[in-house]
Amino acid sequence: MDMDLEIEPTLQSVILHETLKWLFVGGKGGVGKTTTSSSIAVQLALAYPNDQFLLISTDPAHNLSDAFCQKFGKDARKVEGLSNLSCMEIDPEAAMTDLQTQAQQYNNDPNDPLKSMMNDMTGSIPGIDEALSFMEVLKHIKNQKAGENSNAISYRTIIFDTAPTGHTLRFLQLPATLEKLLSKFKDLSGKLGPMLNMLGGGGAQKQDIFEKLNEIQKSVSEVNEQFTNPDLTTFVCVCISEFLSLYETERMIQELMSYNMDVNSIVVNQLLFAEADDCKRCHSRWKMQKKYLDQMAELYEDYHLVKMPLLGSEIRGVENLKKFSKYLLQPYDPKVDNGLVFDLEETT
Amino acid sequence: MLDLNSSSVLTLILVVLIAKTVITSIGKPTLLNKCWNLYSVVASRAGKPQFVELAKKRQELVQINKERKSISAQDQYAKWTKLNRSFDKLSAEVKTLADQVSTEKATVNKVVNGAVTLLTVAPIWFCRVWYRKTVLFHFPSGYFPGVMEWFLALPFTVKGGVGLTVWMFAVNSVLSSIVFLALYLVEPAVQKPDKAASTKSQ
Repeated sequence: MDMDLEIEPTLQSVILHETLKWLFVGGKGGVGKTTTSSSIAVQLALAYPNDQFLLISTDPAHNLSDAFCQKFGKDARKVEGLSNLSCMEIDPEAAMTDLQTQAQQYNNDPNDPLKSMMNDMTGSIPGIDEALSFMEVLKHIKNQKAGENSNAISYRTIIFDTAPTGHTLRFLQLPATLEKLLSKFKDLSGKLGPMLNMLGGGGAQKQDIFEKLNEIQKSVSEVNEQFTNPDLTTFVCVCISEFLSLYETERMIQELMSYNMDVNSIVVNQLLFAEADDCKRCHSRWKMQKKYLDQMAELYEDYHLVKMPLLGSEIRGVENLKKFSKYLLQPYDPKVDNGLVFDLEETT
Repeated sequence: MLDLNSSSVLTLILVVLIAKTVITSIGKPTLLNKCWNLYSVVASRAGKPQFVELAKKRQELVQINKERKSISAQDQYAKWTKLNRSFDKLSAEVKTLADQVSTEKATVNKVVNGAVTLLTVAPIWFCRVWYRKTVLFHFPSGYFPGVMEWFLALPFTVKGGVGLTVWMFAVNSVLSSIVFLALYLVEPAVQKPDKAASTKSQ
């Protein structure tokens, strides 16, 4: 009975989740985000061999290719050695420039006052760039489905390896902002429109831009609805047991909670578990890590706190990821599993 | 020579103009502020929940901030973070409360503004219209040149009478002189320009 109440220190609840569609992995740079997201993806793929999974990196410094020792691009490609997992790397900047060039296409009169206004406006809505990059991602997924219509792949879960830049998910608050802005702008153009027309702006082009913005708003609210549903989406935070990393994690969790996003797991990476080691520095460093671990246990008592060891080398390649990711499901025990630390296969 | 008439109108206008002059010399913003301060003191004494709560929460916020600053974030991370959480929560609450209070402030300001208008502007216009034909003073007709008699009869009284407009003009100029003199006594003297100091500072 007691076991039921205790929150197990693993990602079982995430990986064995029945309905999960979107899984975000986030944290500051250098804490092992990519390794963790790859590990989760590998475990998901192993747990459900009959379903397809997709791992997407939106980090401009793409490193999925390095984690799997295999080149990936912006189209989904299957991982060698794990046939039900695909990866893709997407440049989030592309979408923004896309929209702006599109706006320029509609409107190539250099004297139109509305043109520069539109550019400024689309550029200054908080969160719109993130929203657009997610739209870009979703567009890619859709395109893929449409392109291979004969054997359309439907992914059971899509895992996002998010970029470490601050407010990855700031766009979750976007629909409300956008709605307000659009109605204001419509008002304004209703009043100024005739005047602008007189000055030589085309009415039809403006209509197009409005439609575009409306479209964006609609799809953003759709995405938003899915992302704030804890049955469909969850967020896994990755951190290391150090002050600044914990601080950033706390802020991220607060922010995600303010967006009504479900967060219930934290992966603490790079732990030394140095009790049995001879190394003096490792001992004292482990002591420090334990201090922060204790504090975390107090702060996040209703979270799944997954403790992962620091290994002797970089975790690269599917086989190594399989070995490492095992401990996402089954707590790492330094006495029993110590062999893992130097057990990785050489990859080049 | 002068025959005093309708003394009630005379005093009414006098009182209203005195009130108006007092308000302008105090300054409307100052008056609004004073009224708001008074209102907030009275309201919190009377136990209006928003004021009491806001004051309490602000104090709590200060307390938490003090506590947070007194401990080391790295040594007592959990405690520090918990303080951070409650600080964030409290400041959000304070913000909503402060918003409510400022809406109330707007209402109070509106009421005070309305009262000022009702007490000063409205009676003047009422009198201007209502007593437009009332003769306040009499003097023998033909005593002054015709143009001046016409002027004194403004707005619409008969020749040989003094109307409201002239009375208001007179009262206003006397009051502004009094205010000027009074302020001259009250205001601090302007310092003599010190040539050496001003060149030094430049």
